[in-house]
Amino acid sequence: MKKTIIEARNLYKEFDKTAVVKHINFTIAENEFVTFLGPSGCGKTTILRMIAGFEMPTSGEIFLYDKVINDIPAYLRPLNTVFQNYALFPHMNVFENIAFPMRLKKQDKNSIGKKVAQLLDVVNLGGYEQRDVSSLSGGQQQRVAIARALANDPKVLLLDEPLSALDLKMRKEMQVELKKIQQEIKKTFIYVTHDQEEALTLSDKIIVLNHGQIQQSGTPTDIYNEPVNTFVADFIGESNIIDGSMTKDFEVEFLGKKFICVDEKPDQQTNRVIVVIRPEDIEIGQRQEHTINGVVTSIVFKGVHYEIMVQCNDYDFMVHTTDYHEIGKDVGLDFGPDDIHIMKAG
Amino acid sequence: MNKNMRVLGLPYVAWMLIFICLPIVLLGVYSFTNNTGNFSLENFKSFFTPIYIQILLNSLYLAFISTVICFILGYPVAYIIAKIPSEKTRNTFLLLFILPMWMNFLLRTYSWMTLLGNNGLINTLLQALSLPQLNLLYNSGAVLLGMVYNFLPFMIYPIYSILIKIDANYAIAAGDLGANPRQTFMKITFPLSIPGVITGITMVFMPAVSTFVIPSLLGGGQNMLIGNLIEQQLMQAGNWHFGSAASLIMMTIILIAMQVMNRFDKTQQKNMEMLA
Repeated sequence: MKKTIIEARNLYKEFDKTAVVKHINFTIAENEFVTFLGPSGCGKTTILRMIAGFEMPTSGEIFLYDKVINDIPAYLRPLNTVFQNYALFPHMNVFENIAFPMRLKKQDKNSIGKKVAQLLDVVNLGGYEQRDVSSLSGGQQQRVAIARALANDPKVLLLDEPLSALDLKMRKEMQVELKKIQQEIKKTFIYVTHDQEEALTLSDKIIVLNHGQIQQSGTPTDIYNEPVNTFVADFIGESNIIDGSMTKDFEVEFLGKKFICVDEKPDQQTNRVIVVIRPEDIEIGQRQEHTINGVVTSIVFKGVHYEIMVQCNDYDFMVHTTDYHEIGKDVGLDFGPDDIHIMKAG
Repeated sequence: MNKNMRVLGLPYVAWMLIFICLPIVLLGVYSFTNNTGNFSLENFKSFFTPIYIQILLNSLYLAFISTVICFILGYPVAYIIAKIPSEKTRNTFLLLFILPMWMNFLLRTYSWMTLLGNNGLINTLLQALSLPQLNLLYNSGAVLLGMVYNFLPFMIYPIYSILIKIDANYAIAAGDLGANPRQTFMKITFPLSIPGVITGITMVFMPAVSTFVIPSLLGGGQNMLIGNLIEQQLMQAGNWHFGSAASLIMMTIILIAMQVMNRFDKTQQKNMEMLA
């Protein structure tokens, strides 16, 4: 078991009497890459700002190891932040920006110079010391911001949607880069994003938030394969969400057909359940006895796969497949027991 | 630029020729000629005598001191107003500092005379309290007070408008990186606000160095400054040649001061681009 570095207990924050973060608890282990994922307004940035010390919790505690840090001002916390808009100081060049935190600590010139060069190597900007920050591209500015945030050897690096201002290609490159940096320097990264793909790519652990509450936390595989509710299923990747009913464990009925599944009946009070099926888990082919039958209404090429919409009575399924099926074709949809995820009806 | 645009520019060209270029040329002509209309350096020669040099130095000195006082008073005011979170409150406070400028300049200066004079408000109060009267009017202190009072808004406003534009994230980032509030101000906020400070200094120093109303009303003529000298030569002595030479010298000094300021400003300009 890894040692816990950051812990939140009953963390609550309101702005103007509106609750933004509602009594949440979480733990973050040393050297872990943890992502807070959620739509805008879910409270993820507020949580990060409370950890950094820019916002005070309304109630609840934040622990660094076993010490409550609520009352420690940001400048005394051994945590550093990479800002969404980088916030590089415009009146300083690359060297001065990165040296800034070390200058504050009155470190000697030689060791500052060495450390800056070393940090620039880490972020792949060796030799950029004398460049003006305004002359750098967005991606390069982001790297400088990361190097600057690492200059004080923080215990934890906080990243607030750091890649959102970059174009798609750059973003993909920086994702790989970030993961590499994290593994290289072996530090705890706490990352905030609304981009589910980014979260899945980078994280050791994802904490999914909605309306200031934790929906699910776990490894990317867990979150993707075993979403605990329809919000998570819908937010992480694409999902078909269908009303169904269960009269006994391991058997579910929806759209007029019975299927074997691997879940027990979630709620003994009612037979109603919600069925979640990922588009890529659906097999599309000939109509058969046990398949759900429908008609192809649209097909869009997505690069690796086709995204096909299939109308089956009153439900439109989204299917991802590498096979082509023309519009108007009669098809049958099939799924294995593993592909059917059962959730409690809301 | 197409032809139509050039036509539109003509009135401005004419304006500049008549009201800016022509007067400067005339100023040059007058200052380099004598009464008989012949070329002469006599005016400049007589300016560079101890008595006039003293007036020039005194003007520069008072303008410098009043600029420094305006900066010391104005920067904190601009900073505090810029830090007010509500835009409405901010604008109200700003208005309170700018409001006196809506009144006539002369009127404002006269009102100081009624406050500071021997039978003025302050001395009447002192008398009522059986305290000794003070000599408040007709000295350098009164001139300085008048300058600071009249030109302070010119310092506050440009500094405020820069401070308000600085992204709050810079200060937050500095704090995050370990700078305490004082260090954040000294190393981040203040350096980023220098363009506003330079504009403020320029806008206070220039009118202060050339003013003649303030020293003649509050200084009572004992404190002759270069503005008074020029006014006196042109309006009273009727010596346009000497007055022009004095004006030209003052203009040259202001131009040099502006050039020096601009040099400072240039190094800051790229920072401003980032701020915008």
